[in-house]
Amino acid sequence: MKIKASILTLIALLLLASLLLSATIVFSFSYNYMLEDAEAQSVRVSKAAVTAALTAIGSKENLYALYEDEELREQLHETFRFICQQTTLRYLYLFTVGEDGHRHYIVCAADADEDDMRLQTEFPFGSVRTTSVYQSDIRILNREKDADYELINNEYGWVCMTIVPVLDKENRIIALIGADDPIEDVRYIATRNLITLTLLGIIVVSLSYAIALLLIRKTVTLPIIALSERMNVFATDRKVSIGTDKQNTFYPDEIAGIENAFEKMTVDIDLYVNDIEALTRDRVYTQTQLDVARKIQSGIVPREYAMSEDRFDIYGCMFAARTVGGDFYDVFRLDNGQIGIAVGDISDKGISAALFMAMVKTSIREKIRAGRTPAETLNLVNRELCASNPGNMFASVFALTLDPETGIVTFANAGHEAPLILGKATSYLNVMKGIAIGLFEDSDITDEKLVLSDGEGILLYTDGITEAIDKDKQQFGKDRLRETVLGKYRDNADRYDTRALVCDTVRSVMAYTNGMDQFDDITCLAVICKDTGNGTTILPPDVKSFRVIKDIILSQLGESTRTKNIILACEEVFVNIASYSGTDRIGFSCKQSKSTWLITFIDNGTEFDPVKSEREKTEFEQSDQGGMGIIFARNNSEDMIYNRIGGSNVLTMVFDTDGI
Amino acid sequence: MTIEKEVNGSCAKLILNGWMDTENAPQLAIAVDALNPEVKSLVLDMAGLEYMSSAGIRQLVATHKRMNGELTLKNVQPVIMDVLSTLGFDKKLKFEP
Repeated sequence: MKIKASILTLIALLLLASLLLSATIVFSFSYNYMLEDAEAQSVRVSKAAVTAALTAIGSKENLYALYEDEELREQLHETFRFICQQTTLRYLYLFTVGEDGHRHYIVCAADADEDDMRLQTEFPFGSVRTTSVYQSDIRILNREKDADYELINNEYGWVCMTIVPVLDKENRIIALIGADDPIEDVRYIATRNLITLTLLGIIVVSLSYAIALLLIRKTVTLPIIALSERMNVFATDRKVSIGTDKQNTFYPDEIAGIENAFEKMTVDIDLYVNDIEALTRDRVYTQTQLDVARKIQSGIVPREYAMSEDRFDIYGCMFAARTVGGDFYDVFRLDNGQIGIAVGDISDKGISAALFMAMVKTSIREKIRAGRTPAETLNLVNRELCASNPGNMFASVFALTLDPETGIVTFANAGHEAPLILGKATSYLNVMKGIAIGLFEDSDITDEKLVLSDGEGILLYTDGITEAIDKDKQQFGKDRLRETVLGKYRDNADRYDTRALVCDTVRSVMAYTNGMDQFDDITCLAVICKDTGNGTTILPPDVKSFRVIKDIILSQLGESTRTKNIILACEEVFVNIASYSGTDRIGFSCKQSKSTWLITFIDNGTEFDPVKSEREKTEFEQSDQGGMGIIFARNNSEDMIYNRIGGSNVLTMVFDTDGI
Repeated sequence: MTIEKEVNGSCAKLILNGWMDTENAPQLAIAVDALNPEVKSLVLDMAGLEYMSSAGIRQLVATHKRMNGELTLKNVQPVIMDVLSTLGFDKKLKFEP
């Protein structure tokens, strides 16, 4: 239970309770004491009366004379009455205890006239009280006590009956004297006295309590009330009102201490509140910035985007973090039928990053659409950014153009994560690191090429995936990404479903970070070449195997000078691989599109890039030792695209078939 | 590829027909080896040769060395001439129409 009351009320209640309690205790103790005192008084009175009575009787002889002389008895009666009237006694009587064990009354006197008259009638001389004697009578007769008394309740009410013996000169008991003092009177007096005393006490104590309470009120309660009002004022308006005069005589140290603490606290609170207000302002500002940035980002970069061509499926998505990071991806068609794709990440966060991202994304799209290659585009955009970049922001970008007819991907990397090549041997593409754009004018990014064959693809992403951390601060990492993607491939009967792959990968990352705040934007985009069932022929690394390839080419293109050129190029490449790479098998596949033929060789031998190999000057005299083959391959093909993917050399030759 | 041989004293003529590729190019070396040591000059009639890869060129150069330069290529088809001229060998070898 909670008692709601002021300190003063509580103290007052407490004092009152203690007052009543002590009064009760004092009263009950004193009452018994006073009662005993009153009884003793009554005994003393009785004894005095008895002594007077004895004096009146005089001697044994006189006692006997009383039996005879009525006048004497009347004199004694008068004396007894006088004693009664002078004291509180109600009855005084002289009696003997006879052989029969009954009281034999000699003289009885009462205080009041009426009573006395009644006594003379009911207990005249010689009358016998037929009830048994009192215990006091017996104790006196047996000489156990010199005087005795007991409280009895007879027809006249409660009385204190005192019995005293009347002795002769030989100290023998000749009669007994009884004195009845009405006990009601005794109690009444005792009570009255006590009540008077107690009341007086209560008044005195109450008065001192009242003074104490007044003092407490002045020195404790009032200052506390004043202080609490000041606190209220501070709590509502945060203003410190003028305090009580601490120099006041009645100002206790404790309250002054609280006042001082309060005043110090108000200063501290003021400081804290100001700090918190400033912090909150900053936070609101930052939040607003982020909201705007998010709006810009979501307006420019859709959450998901899908494009489907005859031979290619493209799907990209981006999940913005709470603190916008500035990721972007872009997929767009070019006038020549190619598809441009860019995935990037801006270094900073917030509205400035979002604006920077918008600029980078738009510039890249504009330049690629204008016919620039990805590397030209990135170098140009870099130069534009460097010209005015007060925030010193930079962007890592992976840009590519895809020819959906041939699967040829021309790509350029500006300091972005290496993409994952999807296929039987899913692995990271060996790309030039390049340099993030925006800071250094001499970016010098160069184009590279890649061919996506049937069932193969490329997965682009941002560091939001690889650098996602779990609760133990462990990064998701590139190895885990590769395993996750490969897992999806195997689960899907050795095929990739573009949308499912991207969504499942992102979901895996989210599950990995389970419960952690998304740290960075997550962007993921996949381009996958549909599997048309156009398989790869696997051949032993023997020059004789080339017959198979020759027959395939002849059967598909027919015999012509151009076909011979193509066969020549292929033979040179094939013989080179079979003779020098150390591979145990060679994969061959050819693919026809509108005006080009793509022939791809795959081997798992020593890494060798025929595109970059030194173009040695061939001397006639040494040429019987070989080393001329690559020249024919180069001269007879429109393009040669080499990549080292997952431990394999992948070489694609592009042939123009217009002349056939 | 087929090779027909015509020997006339110290002059010999090999008529090459078909495709000369890595697999069968060594046949030329075998045919040249089989020639009488008295043969001092050699003519390769390539009217029927439709295709030649670098392996063939290596054999031509080897034969050229073996004959001490006394090697003449006859009736070279344009497709093969292209291959030779690519390497600049058209300037090193002797040709007859």
